[in-house]
Amino acid sequence: MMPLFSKGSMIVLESLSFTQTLYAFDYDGTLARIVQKPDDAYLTKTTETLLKELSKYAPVAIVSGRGIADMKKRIHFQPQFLVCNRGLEVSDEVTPALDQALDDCNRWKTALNAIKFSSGVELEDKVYSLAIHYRRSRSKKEDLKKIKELVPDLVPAPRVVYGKSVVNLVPAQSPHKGTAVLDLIQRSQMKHIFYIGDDDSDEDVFSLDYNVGQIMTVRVGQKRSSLAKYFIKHQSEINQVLKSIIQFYKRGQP
Amino acid sequence: MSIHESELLSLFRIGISIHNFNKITERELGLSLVQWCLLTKLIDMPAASAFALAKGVGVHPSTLTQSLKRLEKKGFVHVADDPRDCRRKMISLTRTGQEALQTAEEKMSTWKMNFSGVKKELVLIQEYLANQISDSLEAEEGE
Repeated sequence: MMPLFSKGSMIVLESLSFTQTLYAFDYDGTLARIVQKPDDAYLTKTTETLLKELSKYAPVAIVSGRGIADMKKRIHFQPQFLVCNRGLEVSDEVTPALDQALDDCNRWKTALNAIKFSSGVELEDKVYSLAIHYRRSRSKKEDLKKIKELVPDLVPAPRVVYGKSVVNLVPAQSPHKGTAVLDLIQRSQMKHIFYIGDDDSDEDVFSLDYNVGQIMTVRVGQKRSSLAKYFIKHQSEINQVLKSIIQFYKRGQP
Repeated sequence: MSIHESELLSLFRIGISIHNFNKITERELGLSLVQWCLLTKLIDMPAASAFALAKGVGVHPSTLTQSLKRLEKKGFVHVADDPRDCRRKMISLTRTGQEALQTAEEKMSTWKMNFSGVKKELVLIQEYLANQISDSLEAEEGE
């Protein structure tokens, strides 16, 4: 991995502004910082203003694991693409897969509500997927172990996506962020995609770089095993990333 | 189909004309035709590998080495190691390269007007003959 804030990486980032590029961002841990309560994760005013400004120059997408209704409460502008529940919900489209996902989630919820977790474990209902947060648990290891033990008993079997102090249960047939981004390439008809994310679920996007090309991948936080090519050290640097991209577009204007 | 001597001679003349035209473009635009072709391709292929770029242009990767070196020297492209695989190189267009290409495009638009009289069929025949010759040379090398 190479730091994004280096001369060479900035030249690559600048070269994206010469072609038709879609800028896609993960939400939690990338645009918004990780907080104790997931419900408190909001964009700062500066980040939102910068995103708005960027969307004047190039299409912007927010790709999140959150449900679309929840996401809409958190952003006060209309990005060109809002991809939620890891690709299950794209903008306001209704697909048959959603009915099946809703049914699966309701069955898991019934099963999970019958289980006693410690007080710091919260079940987040994203309508078409579930998230079990254990960030505020006092015994994270035991709770994670407990979650891992109960998952195989769930019917129908979910796909499990591990995040930062969160276990996501998503319908087995549902897309992952990688397929969601591939879909974005098709929908937007852009020639290139810039993607930045912070956790394991973003690796599905990072791996596309090797199979599809057409994508510049950045990870929030350096991790040796990550497939992303570039990294920024902290979430707090996201505004600097946005400023740099906007600057490149401004420089290209007559 | 065999190629007759007269056809070979006409191809040779075309080759010479292209060579001369290449010299003019390099003098007038600061870019040879190959360099112009590479920069044009690079616009839509940020951080392309040499292999992908060669494929995009339609030449063998080894053919690119010299042209890329010249473009890098002029500051028109940036060549860097792939962060995940240092055996691979990534080539990106720089701002200077993009501006040079824009200037070249403006000058070229006048030339392009002059070429508008060239019939498509003629271009296709030239391409066909050039491919035939290169195929037969490759076949000979193979033997």
